[in-house]
Amino acid sequence: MDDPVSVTSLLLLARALYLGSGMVLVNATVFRWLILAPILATEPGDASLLRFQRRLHGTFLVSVALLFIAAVFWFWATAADMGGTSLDEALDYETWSPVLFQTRFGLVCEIRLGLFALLAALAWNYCRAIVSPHRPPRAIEAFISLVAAALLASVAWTGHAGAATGTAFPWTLIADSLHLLAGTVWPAGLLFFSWILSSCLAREAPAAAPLAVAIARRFSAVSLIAVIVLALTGTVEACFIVRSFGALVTTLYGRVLCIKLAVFTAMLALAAWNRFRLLPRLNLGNNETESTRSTLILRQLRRFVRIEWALAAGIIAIVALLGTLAPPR
Amino acid sequence: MKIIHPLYLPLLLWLTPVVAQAHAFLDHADPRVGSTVQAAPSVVTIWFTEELEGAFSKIQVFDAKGREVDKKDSHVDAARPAVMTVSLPALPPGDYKVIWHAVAVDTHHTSGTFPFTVQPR
Repeated sequence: MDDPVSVTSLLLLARALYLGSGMVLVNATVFRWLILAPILATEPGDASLLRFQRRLHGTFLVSVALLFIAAVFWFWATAADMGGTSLDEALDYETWSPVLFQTRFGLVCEIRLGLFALLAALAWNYCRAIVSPHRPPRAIEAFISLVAAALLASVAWTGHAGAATGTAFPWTLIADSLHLLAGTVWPAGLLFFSWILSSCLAREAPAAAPLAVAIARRFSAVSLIAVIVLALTGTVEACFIVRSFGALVTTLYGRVLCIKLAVFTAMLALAAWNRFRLLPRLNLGNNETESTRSTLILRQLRRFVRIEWALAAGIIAIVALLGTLAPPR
Repeated sequence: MKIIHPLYLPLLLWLTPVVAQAHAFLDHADPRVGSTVQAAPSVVTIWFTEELEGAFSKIQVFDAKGREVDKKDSHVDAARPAVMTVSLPALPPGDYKVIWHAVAVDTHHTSGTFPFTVQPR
């Protein structure tokens, strides 16, 4: 048998990659809908926004590929872990077939495979539409968002939430799915937010600030809803999975969860600073001094958003780790 | 080479688990853990705290000499997926050890053992 550390490491990496790419994938469509489309409607021919849109589509395709790779590696590591075999042995049909055909995790993987096939077919159509001057049909966009959301929410079925029994089962499953989906808006959306700020900065100086303010206000409003959903669903999950305040300090799961909450709080503080301190200082005036000042503030805003995004990546790694730890319930 | 900065040690110590807990706990068993029974049981049944994957979970029963005495038909109850059972032949009085290995539906595995004694009538 392989060193169990290599199986666990692969499991951790695959989970983290799946969560990260899944969140970016869902957000690639959601960001376009909720943030970019309304702004593009008022600035239809803006070159910097169109460049950003192309980048968004490119990221969408890369995310689909990464998500698929992560799903394959996750299954491989889980087959080795459940069967108590090495990673090499887990490639044998006799080892992986019972995992695929006789377990709940296998059923989830089969459903994922179907969703990936659907996504590949739709993505091809989507790509053809985006290289043409016309935007992809709304129905395809909506369907792609739903498929991507289902792929991400499937994580809930394979984790602690899906293993809950009795009355806790539906609540933990719904809470975990909503928690994952809200996380795609904020903090996963911070990646695209920082990119779109770069696009604003690429514009001529007087035109940068108004566009950045419009986008930031929109992103801020949408993110606030996501943060509320994250807090509510996180509390529901903690009630069922952690159960007591004591378990937060007496168990490894509780302690790692505390670190996640600390990082989350730091991100909220940064977000509040950006929203209530930096954004109001962005001057919409047209003279040169005000434009230069606004550009500096915009650069600072982008730097803080990037720090938030780095913290978000840390949270994704912590969530991947929590999935492998024993909950205190 | 200094691998871990001393400032990180309190954090690492704090992350060392005080309570080691599993994913699928043994909730209770029949015969009870560590019990002495008058009549030899025809089955060993274990109730777990989480639903199990039947293909990867099993119970074995060994006598005092380490011989497996169960009927090797260990299975998870289809109607109650958190319950696992193995059948036993007519056991003579003596000490027995139950070894269980459980894989929960969240894919994590746990194992454990417990003894029981069949008393002479």
